[in-house]
Amino acid sequence: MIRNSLAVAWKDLLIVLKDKGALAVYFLMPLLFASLLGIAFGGTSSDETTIEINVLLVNQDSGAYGQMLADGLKGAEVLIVEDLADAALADQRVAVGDAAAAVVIPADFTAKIDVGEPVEVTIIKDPTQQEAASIVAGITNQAMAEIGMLGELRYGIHAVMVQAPDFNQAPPELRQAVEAQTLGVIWTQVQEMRQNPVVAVKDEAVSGTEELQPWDPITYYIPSFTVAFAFFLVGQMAATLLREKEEGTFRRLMSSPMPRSAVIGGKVLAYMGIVFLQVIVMFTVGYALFKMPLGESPLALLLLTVALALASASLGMLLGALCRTSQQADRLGMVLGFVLLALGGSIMPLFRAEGFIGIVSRLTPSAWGIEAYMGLVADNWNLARTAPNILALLGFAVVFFAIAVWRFKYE
Amino acid sequence: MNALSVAFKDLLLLLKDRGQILLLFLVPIGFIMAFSAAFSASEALEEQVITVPVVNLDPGGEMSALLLHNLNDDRGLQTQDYDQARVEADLKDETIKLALTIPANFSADVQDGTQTTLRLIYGPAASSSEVQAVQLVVDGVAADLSLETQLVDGLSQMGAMMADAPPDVQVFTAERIKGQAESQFERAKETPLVALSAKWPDQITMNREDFSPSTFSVAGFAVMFAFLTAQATATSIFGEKKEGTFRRLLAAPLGKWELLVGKMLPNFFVAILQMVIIFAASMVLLPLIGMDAPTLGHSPLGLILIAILVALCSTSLGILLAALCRTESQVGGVSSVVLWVAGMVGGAFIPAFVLGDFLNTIGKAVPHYWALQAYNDLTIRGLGVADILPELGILAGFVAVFFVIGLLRFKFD
Repeated sequence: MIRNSLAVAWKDLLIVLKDKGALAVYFLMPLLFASLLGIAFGGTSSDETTIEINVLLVNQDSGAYGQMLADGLKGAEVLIVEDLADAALADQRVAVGDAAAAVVIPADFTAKIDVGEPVEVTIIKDPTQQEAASIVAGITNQAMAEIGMLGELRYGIHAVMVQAPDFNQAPPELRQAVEAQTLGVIWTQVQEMRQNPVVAVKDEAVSGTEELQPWDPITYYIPSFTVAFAFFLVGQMAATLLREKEEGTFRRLMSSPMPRSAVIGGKVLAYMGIVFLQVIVMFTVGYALFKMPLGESPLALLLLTVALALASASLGMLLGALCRTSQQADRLGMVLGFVLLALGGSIMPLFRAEGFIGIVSRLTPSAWGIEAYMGLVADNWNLARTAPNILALLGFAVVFFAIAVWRFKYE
Repeated sequence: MNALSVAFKDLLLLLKDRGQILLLFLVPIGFIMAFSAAFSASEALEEQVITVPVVNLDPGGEMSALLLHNLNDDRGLQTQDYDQARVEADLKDETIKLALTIPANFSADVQDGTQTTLRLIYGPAASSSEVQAVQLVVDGVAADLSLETQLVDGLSQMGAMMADAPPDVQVFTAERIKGQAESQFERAKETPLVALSAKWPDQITMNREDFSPSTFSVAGFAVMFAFLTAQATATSIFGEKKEGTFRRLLAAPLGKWELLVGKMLPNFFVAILQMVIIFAASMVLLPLIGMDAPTLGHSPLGLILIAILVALCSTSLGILLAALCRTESQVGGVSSVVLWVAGMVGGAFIPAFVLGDFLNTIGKAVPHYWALQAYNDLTIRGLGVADILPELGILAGFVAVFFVIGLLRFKFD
């Protein structure tokens, strides 16, 4: 029985592995997606960033603060800043997509800050490049925070000095000199304080717990796309099953001296094998190319993969049992694959959300798989913590199998 | 015309095939719904409030009260008083994930300017993203607190430096400084001295009162899926060849190009219908899950022209695929990958600045890019047909290239 199952399994495995198209879809595509998203979302926090965003700068202010803001923007590595004199022209250029955003510094910027009056800088965003424009806004806000602080300080010093009766009678140059000198001293102090804040914040693990690594998006996307594409196999499995029926090879297998369960069992084993291969390929590339950690519990990783493989293969069986033609299975499989990808949380951890979406996400086997893999590689879960997810996946597998067995037609 | 008869036959086959209809229309709609829901949920995720147990060993202190107040002030955190005795045990048995400890002399130390440390302890139940998120907020609040007190401190020092000066020159007295600083900090909370205000280009919002572009590109996915029908065309041709009905068609008194055009027509209509349904469905369904409906611009003629050209481009690509692919797996698998990569590089669902210069340049060699530019020009930039003629021309060029090469390389046997 075992030998027969293995023989069938080997046959099915070879059929898939020799199919270059299948290889492209089940191995190459998840790699592509995971790498692209991992680089995209991880690149903004790493040192070597290749992101470049075009920004137009209209500095209508002739004072020191305008210059400070301009310098702040030009100093940002990710921004390519072009100076423009005309705000209307900047507006037009952003409208046609020439730049992701334009920052307009009004003419009274420095003047207003000097007298402590609130002032606004405008950012014009390109609606077709909203993510890039948001990054520009973030950088601009950071630069402005410095200026805000400096402005408040100067204003504060001036306001206090003016309260001294003698001060107003001193000649203007003297007043300015004193203010500037005070500002200089205080600004230096502020910089020092920034370096050595009085209140520090330190994170530490409670005794007996492993230290956490900083979160790297690739530790999310490699597992999440592995799980998503493990479920894309479902359509393929069901389709080949039905195709065998359509072409008559299934009947021949049934009439051979093999027990029926061996035929089905063999197919299940084959597709479980493919899921294993997917996990191995994805995680190896993740580890080698992206330095993705592999976690502390290889046993949990192994058991989780077995559970994932069972869930995927059993869903394939279910689809094969319910569909009537191989074409139907192919298409439903694709629909199912996409739905599980989106809802299971391959792009975003929806299973962490509260409310309706969170519940729906947790109804998919993918969500349990993704959560567990990420826990293992990013948060050093041990077997005990992974157990609920493994059991959930096994539970799905049992249900899928049961329905499949009930509805499967051996004809 | 004979081509029409071939087309009609295929169209009938298609209409009877419920599975195909399901795939062609429901998949992209489902996809868009799922992705939009995912995007809106992710915003909800970011707004979720994290509860942080706090062990306050400085209960009467002014500074610790201020710290707690600021932490709870609209930053996505909510603090919860916790008993020091229980913290370590509760962390270990995963009743709580993390805890913040305010040390005993916190207020005194801060007011003195003595270095003090807040400890954020996490247990096995915590995930690194949660710890990082909380630490970021606490860092920010602590930094502000430090600055406020250090500043007043610094100014007071200045006052002390000038204490030897005659009283009427003494400007920086303690009360004046504190008073000034406090009034400024109060004001700054209401209206910061410098603020950033964002807006869309006037050029675009000119005649449109309620212009609000969704952050999610319906056009991107519509174009993506329209091009995926190329695969359907190729598969159907392949299927016919396999079953031998293709040879029978060849034996009929039909010109070869008539045969190909006949094969293209049904898929052309399907592609157009698909795009119409996707846009219409998004306009109705997206608002239901709380997102903005996509704007359609002023030029329906332009939209129709783009749809026609994208559909033509997709079907001629289908012919090309059928001509170039030799095996079923190439038609199914390899062309899937090619079409998805083309969509990615053409900017259908990954922002241009992420792709970088190299990929963006490659993207221009892909029809998706030009179709998207044209859609964006019409719907977001509010331009007219005249403005998108260049893009339409390029799409027409793609159609010609795909069809000619497809025709030349097509193996009719």
